[in-house]
Parts: sequence; C-alpha cells; structure tokens
Amino acid sequence: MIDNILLGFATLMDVGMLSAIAAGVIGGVLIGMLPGLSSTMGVALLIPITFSMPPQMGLGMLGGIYLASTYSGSISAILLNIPGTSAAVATLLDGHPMSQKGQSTRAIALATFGSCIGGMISVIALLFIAPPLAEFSLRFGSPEFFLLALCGITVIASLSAGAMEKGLIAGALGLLLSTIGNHPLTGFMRFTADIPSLYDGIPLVVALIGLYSIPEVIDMIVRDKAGQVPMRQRDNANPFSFLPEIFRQKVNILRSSLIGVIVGIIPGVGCSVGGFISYDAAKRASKTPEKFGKGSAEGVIACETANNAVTGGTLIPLMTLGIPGNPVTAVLLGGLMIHGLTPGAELFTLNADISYSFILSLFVANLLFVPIGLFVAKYCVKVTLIPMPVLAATIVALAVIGTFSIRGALEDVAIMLFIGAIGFILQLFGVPRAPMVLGLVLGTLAEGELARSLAIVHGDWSAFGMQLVTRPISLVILIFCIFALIQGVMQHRKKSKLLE
Amino acid sequence: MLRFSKDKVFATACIGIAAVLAVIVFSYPLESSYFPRILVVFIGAMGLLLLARNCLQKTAAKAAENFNQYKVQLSSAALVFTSIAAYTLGIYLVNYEITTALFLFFFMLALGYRKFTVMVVTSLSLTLALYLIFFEILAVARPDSLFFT
Repeated sequence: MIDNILLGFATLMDVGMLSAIAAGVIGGVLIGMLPGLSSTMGVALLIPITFSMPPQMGLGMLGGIYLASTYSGSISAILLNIPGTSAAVATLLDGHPMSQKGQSTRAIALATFGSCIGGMISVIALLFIAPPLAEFSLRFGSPEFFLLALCGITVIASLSAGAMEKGLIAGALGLLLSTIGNHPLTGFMRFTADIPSLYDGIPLVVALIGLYSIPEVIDMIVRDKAGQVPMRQRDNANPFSFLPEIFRQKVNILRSSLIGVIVGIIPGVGCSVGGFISYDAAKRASKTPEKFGKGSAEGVIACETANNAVTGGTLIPLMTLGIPGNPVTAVLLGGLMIHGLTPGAELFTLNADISYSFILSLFVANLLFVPIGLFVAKYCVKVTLIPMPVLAATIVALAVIGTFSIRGALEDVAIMLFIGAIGFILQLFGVPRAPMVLGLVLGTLAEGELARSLAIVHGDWSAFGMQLVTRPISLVILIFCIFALIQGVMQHRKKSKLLE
Repeated sequence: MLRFSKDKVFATACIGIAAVLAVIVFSYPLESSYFPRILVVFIGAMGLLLLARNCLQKTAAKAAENFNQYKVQLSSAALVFTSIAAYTLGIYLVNYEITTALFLFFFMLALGYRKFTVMVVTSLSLTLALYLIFFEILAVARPDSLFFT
C-alpha cells in the first residue's frame, strides 16, 4: 500500500496533472457558486473534455470539480441566501445571517477552511478504511434506509424547535412534493395532472432555486420598501485571520467530519443530509445553541465540514463496490468506466497507480480550493454592496436560466415559480423552509425503500413493523429516531415555558 | 397576538389542503399510494394539533396591526411572479438575449431604480455574461423561441 501511495505521489509531480486538477477546481468553484448549476451537471458536462486525457489526469480533473463545486455552493448560500448546490442548504441557516451582520468574509473563510479539513479527513478515510466500512454499509437493507429517512424527519423536528408542528408540516409537504411523478415500483403516475414535465417528478435543483430565490427576492424588495436594508458593510477582513478560530473548533470539526464520512458511505443519503445531521449535532453539543439560525460560526463550520467530508465518503463504496453514493458519484462512475476502469479489487491492484493517484489528487484539490475559493469569494463579497434592484434582477435572471439549464425545458420555470409560491407562503406564515428541502431530498429514498420493504413482506404491515424492531441496525436507528424526537419535544416545551 | 392568529390560519389551511389531497390520493391504487396517504393524514393531524394548541393558548387579543406589511409583501410577490412569467413568455416568443436585457432593465425600473447608465450597462453586461457562461462555456442548449431564434 505504501508503494502505491508513493507511486501516486510521483504522478502528482507532473505539471500537466497539477494543471488539470487546478482547472477542475476553478471550474468546480464557478459551477458550485452559480445557483442552478449542480455538481452533477458540472461533472457530466466536463467528462467529454477528459476523454483525450490520460486516466489519472482526467479523473483528477473530475475529482477537482466534484470537491470544489460541493464547497463553493456555500459562497452563494452565504452571500445571496441561495444555495449554489443542494449540499449547501444547511449552510443557509447561519451563513446568510452572518453575511447580514457584515461578516461575509468570516463566514466564507470558516466555510472554506472547514470544507478543506472535512474533505482532507474524508480522503484519509477513503485511503485507509474504505474496504471494511464499505462492507458494513452493504448490511443496510430497505428497512434501514427507510428508517434513515425517518431519522431525517426527526432532525427536521429538532431543527424547527419552537414551531415543531410547523416544521413537521413543512417536512411532510416536502416529502409529498417528492411523490409527484411515477411510483418507484409500480410506475403509477401521481399528482402529475397529465403534464409531461412532472412525469419524472420535480427536479431537486429546480425546487431549491424556487424555494430559495423567489422568497428571497420578495423579502429583499419588502425590506427595501420598509427601509430595513440589510447591513452591507464593507468587509475587508483578511480571510486567513479566521484560521485560529477553526482550530478552536476542533471537536466540532472532528465530529462533523466523522458524520460526513459515515453519511457519505451510506448510498443515496448525500451531502445535504450530512450537513443537516452535523448541524443538528453541533447545535445539541453547543454551549450557545440559541445562536444557531442567527449567524452562528459553529453552525457554518459544522455543515460545511460535513458536506465536504461526505465527498470522500461517497467515493468509498464507489471505488470498492461500484455503488455510487449520490448522483455526482454515479456520473463519476461513468467517468471511471470511460477510462476503462472497473470498480472493485481490480482498481486497487491492477490499476493501483491510477486509483491511488486519483485519491491523492483529491488531497491536492482540497488544498487548492482554499486559495482559489477565497480569491473568488473576495470579489463575490462585493455582491452585498450592489443596490437591491440590480441584485434582485440578477438573482431572478440567474434563477430562470439556472432552472432552464437543468433539463433544457422552459416548463421547469413554471415549476420553479410554483415551488417559489409555496416558499413565499411558508415565509408569510413564519414556517421554516429547511424541513421542506430535507423532505424533498429524502422523499424519493423514503418512498422507494418503504415500497421495497413492503414488497419483501407482501404488503403485510405487521411483518414490516417486526422487521424494523428485529433487525439490529434498524433497531438502533429506530431508537435514535425516538430519542431525537423526544428531545425535540422537550426542547420545544422548555422554550414555550420560557416564552410564557 | 397576531402570531397566533397567523398560526390558526396556517393550521386551517393545512387541514383544508390535506382534505383536498386526501380525496385525490385515496382515489389512487393502494399499492401506489401508501406513502402519500400517510403524509396527507400526517399533515391533517399536525394541522389539527397546531389549531388545537393555538385555540387553547391563553393570549391577550390584539388587533392585527400589520395589514400594511402584508399588503407590501403581497404586492412585491405579485410583481416578482408577474415579471418572471412575462420574462419566460418573452423568452418563448421573442429570444433569450433580447428578452433578458429588456427584463433586467424594466425589472430594475419597476423596483424604483433610476440610474439609467448603470441599468443599461448592467442589463447588457449581465446578458452577455449569462450567454457566455451558459451557452458558450457550459454548452447548454439555447431555449427555442418562436421568432428570433
């Protein structure tokens, strides 16, 4: 193994290889920053460019795009309250409030350093503990995956403490929206009203753009009319001056990295869920949980560290078992195959030079996105100084073209507007939007696994219930869910008493 | 307080929406609608719980004083939704580049911005930037328009 690692290092010494990784990182930062452009889309669009490159170089470039785009979604989340990618949804909760307080540079710097450290730790996990962990995730069956989705619901409940019913309703609405389209097993169409664009359901990125850009623009206009212009202080702080703050958060970073890696290993869960779970864990462990949601640096560090730690985690089952953990790694799997590589033991023996140079290129990509991301962000901070009408018009134009670019359909703009209207109504009634997003993210997984679990027991609900309590892993998840829900209820009661 | 009356309206709306969706979802075959059925019932139940909790809450009745704020919110929302709908229709009928430049200019104007030089420069430069990023660099297919394709 040491020989292979050294061989991988030798490959990295090539200028061409480093240039390819740097190009991937720059492309990834730009793709991740632009709302509507997902990491998946960026990797998919750039795979053809890597055809002509040697496998190491091509994969290094794709890895750079994947890591950098996952990170840079946080930049637009912090500055504009629009997540550049779904991975940055949890970052909105505290990133944008920090920006509104005139701490954009601090928020971006903490997000960047957290992402870098989380990414590095996940690459170490990928390098050393890939095979045993990947084997463990294979023990997860449909009931466990369904319960994992339920676990997300309990996270929703605790995230929206103080308005638990509203949070749960928003989560259920998100789950319900995710059921639009065909049933995962029977193919029966639900809620489509015979509109072809809805047959495959609502694209997640389109929903995210609608849910975050439209209410945000409306809110900007309202605040401007009311004279409540958010603080747009000139923020010329040196981002590296916040580096010591990161080291003071070492427990938070280690915990978030661990959560990110574990979530990444479990296929289908994804970066955004990793961010939310880590945010929730940080809030529970924090000495100042009341600051969460109002611009807490701990919150930003927790979700950004975790969502980048997910990236290395998702590559573990991909490279060892050929199981993609999320849509981006599914596209990356295509990239591996295009270069004649098959995941599995062969990848670490016959093609060890390529696989180890790929893993080590991820180290380099993690290091590179720090200066590149901070350089790009330095100019992006100026976004907060732009007059409101210019900013609002820019966000709307970006939202429309970003939505169109997902599937090349103008009908998706109508879907975006519909989701935007729901987001506006939720905002009007003081209902949190984040649980709805989590519902949308987890919905397909939850419904698919519920349907599969029921199919296994021939639709017998009592047998399904027995499965949940007799399988050791599902029982552990179930106990965790119940514990989190009870804790959420108790927190809510405590807050209500305080308010009274 | 106004907050509680807002919660009551929201809870009632949720119960209503759950009832309407229940009619739809319970008409689907059972094996294809387990999940939405559970969700619809759950939304209705949560709505009832929220309504009951707010009705039982002892609060001093206060006149809803923020009607003006709602009016501003609703008029702003109407402006945004109408503008995006008109912009999309413009792309479909005329052409992406022309419509985008015009939309940016008139949307800024509608929001009360009056620095015409900045408006023209922003409209043209942003249209060019979006064109280059999406259609040239990322090779996204341009939207088909009826007239100036």
